[in-house]
Amino acid sequence: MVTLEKRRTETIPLNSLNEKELGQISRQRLLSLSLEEMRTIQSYFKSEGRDPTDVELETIAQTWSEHCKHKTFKGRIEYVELKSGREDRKVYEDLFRQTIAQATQKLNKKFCLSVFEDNAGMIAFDEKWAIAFKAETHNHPSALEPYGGAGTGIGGVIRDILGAGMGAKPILNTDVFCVGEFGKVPPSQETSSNLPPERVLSGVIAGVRDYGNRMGIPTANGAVLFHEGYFANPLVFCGTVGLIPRNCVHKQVVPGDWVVSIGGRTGRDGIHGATFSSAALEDNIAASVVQIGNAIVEKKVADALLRARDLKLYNAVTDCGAGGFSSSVGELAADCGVKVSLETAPLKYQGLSPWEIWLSESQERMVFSVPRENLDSFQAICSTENVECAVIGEFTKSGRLEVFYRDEKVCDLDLGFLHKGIPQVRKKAVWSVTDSSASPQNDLMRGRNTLEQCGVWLKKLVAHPNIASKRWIVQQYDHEVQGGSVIKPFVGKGSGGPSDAAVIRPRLDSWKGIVVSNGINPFYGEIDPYWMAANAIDESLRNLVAVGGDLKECALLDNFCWGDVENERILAGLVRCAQGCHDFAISYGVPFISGKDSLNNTWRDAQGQVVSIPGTLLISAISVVQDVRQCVTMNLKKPGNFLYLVGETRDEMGGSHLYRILNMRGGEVPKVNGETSLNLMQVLSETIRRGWISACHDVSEGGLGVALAECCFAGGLGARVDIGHLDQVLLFSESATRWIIEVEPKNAHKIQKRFGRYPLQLLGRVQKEPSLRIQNGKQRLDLSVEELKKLWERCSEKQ
Amino acid sequence: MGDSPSYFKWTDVAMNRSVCVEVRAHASKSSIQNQRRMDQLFRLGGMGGVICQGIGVLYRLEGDFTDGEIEKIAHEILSDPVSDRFWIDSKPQNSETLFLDIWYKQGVTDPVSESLLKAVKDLKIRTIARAFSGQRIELRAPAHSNGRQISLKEDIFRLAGKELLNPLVQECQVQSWSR
Repeated sequence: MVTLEKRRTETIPLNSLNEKELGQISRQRLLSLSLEEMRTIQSYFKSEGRDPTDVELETIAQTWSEHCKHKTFKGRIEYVELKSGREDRKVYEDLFRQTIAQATQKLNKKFCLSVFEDNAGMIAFDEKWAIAFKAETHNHPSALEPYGGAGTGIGGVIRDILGAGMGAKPILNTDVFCVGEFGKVPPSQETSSNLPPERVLSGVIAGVRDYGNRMGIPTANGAVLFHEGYFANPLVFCGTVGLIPRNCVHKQVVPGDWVVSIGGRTGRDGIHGATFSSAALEDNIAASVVQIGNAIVEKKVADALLRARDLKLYNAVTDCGAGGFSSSVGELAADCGVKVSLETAPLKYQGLSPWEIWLSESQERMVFSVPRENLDSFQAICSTENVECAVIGEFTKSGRLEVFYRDEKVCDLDLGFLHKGIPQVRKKAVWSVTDSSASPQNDLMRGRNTLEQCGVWLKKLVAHPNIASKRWIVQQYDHEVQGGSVIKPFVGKGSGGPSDAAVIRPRLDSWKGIVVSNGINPFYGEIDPYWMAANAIDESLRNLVAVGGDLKECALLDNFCWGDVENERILAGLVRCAQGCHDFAISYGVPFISGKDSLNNTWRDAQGQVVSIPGTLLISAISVVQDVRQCVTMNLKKPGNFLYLVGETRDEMGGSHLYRILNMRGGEVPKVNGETSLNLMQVLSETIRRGWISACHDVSEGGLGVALAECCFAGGLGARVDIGHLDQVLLFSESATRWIIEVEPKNAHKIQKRFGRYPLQLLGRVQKEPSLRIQNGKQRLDLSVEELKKLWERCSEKQ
Repeated sequence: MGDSPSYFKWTDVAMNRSVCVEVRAHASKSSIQNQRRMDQLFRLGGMGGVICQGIGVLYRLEGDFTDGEIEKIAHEILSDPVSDRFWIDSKPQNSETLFLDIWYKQGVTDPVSESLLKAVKDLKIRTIARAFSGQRIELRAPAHSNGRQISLKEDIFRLAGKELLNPLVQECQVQSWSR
């Protein structure tokens, strides 16, 4: 090990500073602490009768960062809604507790084994096993260094799964990327030094690919969205699913245990990552915030951890993420106390200050609470797995966080103050309800456009980057490793169509499986974030149901990425979105089990103005399926089978992709009727389980027209459909809770009877001839399936 | 590359020698496509006469090793004997050839070199102190006067900074032929 030269710890003369000077300290040291927070810290140290050390100040800043404490979500928010001269007020004393967490609490599902209290949410899989699920974002690092940022993003969420309970085995990765539109530089960004979206996307794909593939974890579900609002601040969501024995779901640190760190060495990588992630993206970012991961080291850590877990060699584990040792050790010791000796941490190189060792976000590190009598066995496993292991301290009963560097005490904080002393944020949010009756959609309706025109639009839509094939991305990922993949990213003839969700079989000795899906649509959020939340939940669940998932044992993750929450309108959007999450989780009876928010996704334009990303909510859904052999795919199966549209199509073109290609804004965003949607999903799940449905595909971006085209080219077959009373433009409506289902003639009567009063419209039949014929009264449109597929794949072929 | 960083010094081996090993795959459809893309990039960057001759992976090894040990590392770890070729300390062969070498900056984690050091240890070679990984793009540019050569280098630096590397974590150097 490289020896460390002794570096002095600095004492910050905080107690004598005035308000202006407190603000300056926060800014100069990149602490991202508000004046009120700095005043609270000053009061604490006055009561202690001394000034803080740099280690203490940095520890508090990290623990109180937006990234770690979710100050806005846990803050008191006065929400004001202005509509037609009327003003409605509602006060959220704790936005998170009163929305997301409250829905879970109200639903009180027995299959939820661990919610919002650990590194990941956990649900029951069977009598013996549980499933852990978590999704994270790594936006600012990915904007600066896409490969390293995304790699460490997926590496971090994998460690969340390894650190969930006593440690889960990662079995599936997911990734969702939101980037700017290729070849288009927004006028405000013409002089910026941001990496163009083409480089950002190829970098983040490579980062996720290299990390996931090298660790031997399949990446089988995801999405990519292009929107000009992400040009300077891309979003990189990474998720991981893990499998864990049910008796390992909970952990408990025991005073007297050693604090043991294993894995990568500590360097300056990622210093200030936690506070950086809570600040706006601006130029002159230090290279030290950028991290490059090492998947091979993390794979070895995972192997050592799972062996030690099965031998019950430790009492608790967590990952070193944002905030490094400060966060991981501080959290593990929250209910007891801890003494840490920083000079015992293995370092990459010499010259680090004590606070840098303590706060470093070097990757691939995990921290354990190891009973003294198990240390030798624990170290032996690490040695055989070639993982570096070091005892860096011991857990105590003191209730204090005591950190030493050589013989000097560099930090001595009351853990109660550290974790609960943060003053509550108070904010005001104002939402003005705008009238959408001036929607441009009416000009498109009522038969003003011919089916022929609709054919032109359909061809443009299937080639739109948000809808077109993502094969060039997906094929870089290993989605087969571990051997449990059942429904993969591409299905049908020649794996020619996009599947709705991933299905995997975590235990190869059982037919039981899990379904993972996602829903995301920032375009709806630009109109109303409340309905964006409703649609994101609906989309994730309809994708899940489309392959055979069931809402009975289903759970959700929420990942909010938002802009400048100091802006009252933007904050109001966040409140509406969280309220939507609450309302529709209740409607569907599906609880949230974990989530994360990433706020202040902003940057400054050429004029110095703060620009926010479109408020974005990713919903990830997971469900247990009793028998994966009952699952279905979206590709058409057999000529002569009937095609039905399940669900109701309405004049809801706001935020639709048709509007995007026509450069139209406004309009009615799709609304969700929770009760009807739940009933439809339950009936659809049941009929799929009974084997009455041969193929099922959700209707989403691009509407019915796009969904029909995808079903046809995935099956290498054609279809002849009559849209009946629908205005042809509604071929592109993105109304929620709809699917196309394929039904054999022998099952048609049973399906019609079972759906009963729920909306089910016979569209037509599957045909052998590879053409898509759409009729509406006397109008007829014939499209070549081969041409549609070529257009859909063109985007991939260009990469 | 600037001063050698000290963060991969795992052993107490003296650093008397430093070599660069370049590994390049035999010509394949994808390698030719990558070269064509590179040509296009230079064309779009206003350097139409600059042609990409090949793209390789670079490893820089420092320590107190013998030529035989480097040959062994290059053969057994760094290259695939079927699909790759390698060169040790190669230089531009004529006045028309330039090497654009891209390396991580000091302080940035280099996982490839970490794995390389581990593999070297597994080969029971104890004379390598530090390793670095990078990329080499071999370019052919028509011979010019010294003045033009300097301005061409500057143009290549500028294009590399914009299109081929991330200046936050990487840096490059251009090597030209010298007698």
